Amino acid sequence: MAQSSTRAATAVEAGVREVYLAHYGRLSGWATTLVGDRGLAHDVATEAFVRLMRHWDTVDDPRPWLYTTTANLVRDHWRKRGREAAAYERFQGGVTDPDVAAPGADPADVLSVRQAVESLPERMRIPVLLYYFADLSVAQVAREIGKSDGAVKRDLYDARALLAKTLEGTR
Amino acid sequence: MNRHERDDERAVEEFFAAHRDRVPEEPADEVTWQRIKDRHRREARGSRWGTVAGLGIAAAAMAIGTYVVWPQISGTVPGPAAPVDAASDTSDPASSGPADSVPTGAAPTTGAVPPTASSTARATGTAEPTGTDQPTGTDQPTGTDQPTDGVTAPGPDAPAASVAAGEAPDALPSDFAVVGTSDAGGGQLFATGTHEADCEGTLCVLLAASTDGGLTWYPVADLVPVGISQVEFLDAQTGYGWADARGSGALYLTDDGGLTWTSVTLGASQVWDVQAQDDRVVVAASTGECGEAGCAGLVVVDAAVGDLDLTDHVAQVIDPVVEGVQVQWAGAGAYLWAPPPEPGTAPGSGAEGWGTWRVQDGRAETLAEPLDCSTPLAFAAAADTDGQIFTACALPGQDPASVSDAGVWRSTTGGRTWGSPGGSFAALSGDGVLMASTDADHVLVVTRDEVLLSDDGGMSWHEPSTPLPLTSPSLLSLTAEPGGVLVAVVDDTVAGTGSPGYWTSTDRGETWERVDLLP
Repeated sequence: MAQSSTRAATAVEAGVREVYLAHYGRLSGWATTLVGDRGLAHDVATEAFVRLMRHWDTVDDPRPWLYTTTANLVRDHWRKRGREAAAYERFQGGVTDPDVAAPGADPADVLSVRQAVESLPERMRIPVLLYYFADLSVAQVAREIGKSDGAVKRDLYDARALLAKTLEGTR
Repeated sequence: MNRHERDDERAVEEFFAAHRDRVPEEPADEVTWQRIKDRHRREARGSRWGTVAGLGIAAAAMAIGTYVVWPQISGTVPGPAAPVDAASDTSDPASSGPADSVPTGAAPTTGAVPPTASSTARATGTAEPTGTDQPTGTDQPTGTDQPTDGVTAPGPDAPAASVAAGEAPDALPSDFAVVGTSDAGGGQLFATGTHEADCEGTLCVLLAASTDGGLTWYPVADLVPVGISQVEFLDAQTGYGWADARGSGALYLTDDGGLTWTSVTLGASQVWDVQAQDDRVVVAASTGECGEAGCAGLVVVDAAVGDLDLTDHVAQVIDPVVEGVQVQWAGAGAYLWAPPPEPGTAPGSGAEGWGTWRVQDGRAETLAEPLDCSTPLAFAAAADTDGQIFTACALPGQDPASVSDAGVWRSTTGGRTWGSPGGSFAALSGDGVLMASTDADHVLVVTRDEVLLSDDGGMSWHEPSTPLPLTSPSLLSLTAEPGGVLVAVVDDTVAGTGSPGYWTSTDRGETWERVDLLP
């Protein structure tokens, strides 16, 4: 029994290692863009892979699973940081966000992904992150977040209109 | 799709494509892979310990029969060593459900947990891991900002400003995330934490308390009106509160268990840490300008508890920017530790913005680092032993930018002289090392990869018999209390436990158990 268990663990590690070599670098960089801190992004991506190893038997498609896990970890981090900042602003009587970029020509220069995504209602944020920024398909997003394809399409449709307005406002 | 919608789609796609093009490619190196494997193996072992402990307790309960009802043995309690339950992860798709659902953090246990309190009223400073959850770096003016709601502004001879904390909810929210703890002695514990539920889309900070050593918890007050998020209580009524948000500088004192708070005049731009014992309070703060890297003008205050004007007790320590300064007690002696700004910083005096100091006669006396300490990584004062302090350093001869082996140096003379390190441990890249010590012999080190305990002052290391099933990236702080107690506060951002609680050891780090704040 022990030998069988060891063999299973080795097989899991071998499988996850292949995924690690293929996707870790990009995933960690993806998280860095979202949290703005390379060390934290490294921790987040590492955590996603630890969880992948834990759930390996039930994960059919590792790449969308990893990006969804990472997006959720990032969202939790944003919430925590955002809540801290919001409470502090309430305490201070309102303080503007120093990270807001000045207007410029390139949309990537004037608005961060975080700012764009956080301008959306909560239900649209993860679908937008996964579809537009992680480049997953509607079907992959729907499967990972437990919604129907139609519901994801509706979220993306609504989000597009809101995001376009936000982007327009930065020009 | 009409033309307008097509324009929207193109604008959005172009925006994200521009950002996708900028995503950096990080290396998928062997060190990180090893870390992933080790963490998984550690968690797997943690699960087994939890199962074994749970079975042991269940067997004991059956043997004892109905004669004794031990509060821990009830319902589905998995045992004191139960690790973070994978089912409570809220971030991975396998367990979180739809992404727009707010994590509810169902507690994995239904029974009470063992007491955690020591009998002495004292708590230690926090040891934050690198870069996982720093306060928002807003530059704020120094010192005198006060909340504007519900505050009585003092005139020249008026009494100090008092702020009433907000009304607490009926019960602790399920998404309550502990950010700090304080042991007031006699089974009286306090915890601060954040939550989002019923909070109008913003942060709420709550003060929670337990009067039975952590078995049951209840909400005390909403701390948002006061603007504080950390507390240090001396007893059930008396305590200090401060904000860990960058640039606040607010310090308050309560004498009614946290319901109302009176402003303490300090003139700080940032309060780093407050620790009190007996009738003495030591505050580490900065009075200079704050930025992303930290705050300038580190000062220390050593004063009597209850003094509402500390300006006469402020003593300058160093001027350069510091970050994450801690106050720790070794017996009756207080020490300051300002960590190096990042791994690989060359050793030197505190004038570089970091260092270790002994608080003596109202001022801070600079301590020399051990001679062969090439790069300091962590500091710990032995909670129960006067003059006993430890410094974790990279072993000599390594490139500061790529540290791989570290050791612990011990001083039994309050930092005037240092011994030599014994066995080494891996501290890859030199960051993410947390350390705490309960007494002259026991030191616990938590790295990114492992948890190690020494019972001979750092000369040799072993894995605790029931170790903390978390490594440093998952922790907000690791602190030592008198009486052999250690407390580890989990960073829920990384660990994703989804259930309010923290971890504690009451036997100097040999065995760990989780304290759940929800029944």
